[in-house]
Amino acid sequence: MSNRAHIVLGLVVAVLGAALVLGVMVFGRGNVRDHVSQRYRFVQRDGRSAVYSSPEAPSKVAGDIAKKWEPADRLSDPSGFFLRYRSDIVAVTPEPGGGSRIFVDDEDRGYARWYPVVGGNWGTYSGGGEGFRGGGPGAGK
Amino acid sequence: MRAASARAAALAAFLSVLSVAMAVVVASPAAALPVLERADAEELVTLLAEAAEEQDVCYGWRIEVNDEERGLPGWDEGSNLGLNRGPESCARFVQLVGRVRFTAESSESEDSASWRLETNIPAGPRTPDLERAGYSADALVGPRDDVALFNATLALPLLTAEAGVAPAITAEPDAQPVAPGDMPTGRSGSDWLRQNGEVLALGGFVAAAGLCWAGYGVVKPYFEGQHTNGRQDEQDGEESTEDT
Repeated sequence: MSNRAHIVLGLVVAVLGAALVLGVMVFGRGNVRDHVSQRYRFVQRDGRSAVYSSPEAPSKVAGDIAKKWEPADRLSDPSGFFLRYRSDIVAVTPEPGGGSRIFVDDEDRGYARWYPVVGGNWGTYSGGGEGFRGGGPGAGK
Repeated sequence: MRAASARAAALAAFLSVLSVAMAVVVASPAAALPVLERADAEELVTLLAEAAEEQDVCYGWRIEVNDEERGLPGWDEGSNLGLNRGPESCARFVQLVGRVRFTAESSESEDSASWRLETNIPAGPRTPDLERAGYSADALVGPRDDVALFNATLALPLLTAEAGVAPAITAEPDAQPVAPGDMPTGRSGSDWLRQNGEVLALGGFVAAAGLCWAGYGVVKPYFEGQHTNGRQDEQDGEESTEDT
């Protein structure tokens, strides 16, 4: 292989790699909050908190959201699935009539809203109460 | 005759020591619950009991752990009926049953894990429902195996409700006030990097490799030229020696 061929092929590969990086930076933008707002039906908003709904089951909705935007941590509870992101907490709970209700809150509001479930796992839980989910798995390791 | 009885006594003593050691190993919490800490398992039992009471369905987990280094298999088992008790005695039950295999360091095969849902409810939840929610048995051989088992087991009541064979347990947001100063901790890294980091790293690696390749094409002639010039100098030197 000639020297010129090495240079040309090397530059082609470099450009492909750079294009991949650029593509991720352009098309990979967004966040879980945007994804949920575009994918599910809006119900109500209160400041940085928003509620959405879906006719799909909570496990399907939570799985889809986690597949699109991988959470840093997640919790299951008999009442719902909880996904934790850097600045947001997403909770997917069953609707009484079927389907799902999706709550998107910033970290502080989500922590307060779902305190009995996430308190001992994602924060400095300092209170007690009936039905509280305690230290969570791995807390003692 | 005395030698034979002495050997028998020594054997009996050895067996008794061995049985005591085995009893200690089996009775220790770590051996009884190879995945979950005992406190976590007890908490899981409590939460499953609350769900079972509301839904009239029993829930449980049973994970067999085979560690080739340790040799002895271990069982992590429990249900809303208690630790080390399965839910099969209930009229309706759903149970997570799994197997984990940790291979020896000298072994070439990888650690592996599998699980499935067992239920006696005809239209009850199935294993794909668990995977659809984003839970995979592979997590049982990862560093957070306890979290994976805890979450997967605690998802059973909701999956059962989704299957339409039990009422859904309603969440109660804002059910309990947060004490002043109580706050979330352990903020995670960038969501964007977590989502795109692998592709980004791959693109960066390909770009760097391409640049190295092109750089090789640029510097190659200089090295070849030096080498050719060196050989030419040697040949010139030999010729001049012959002339003299």
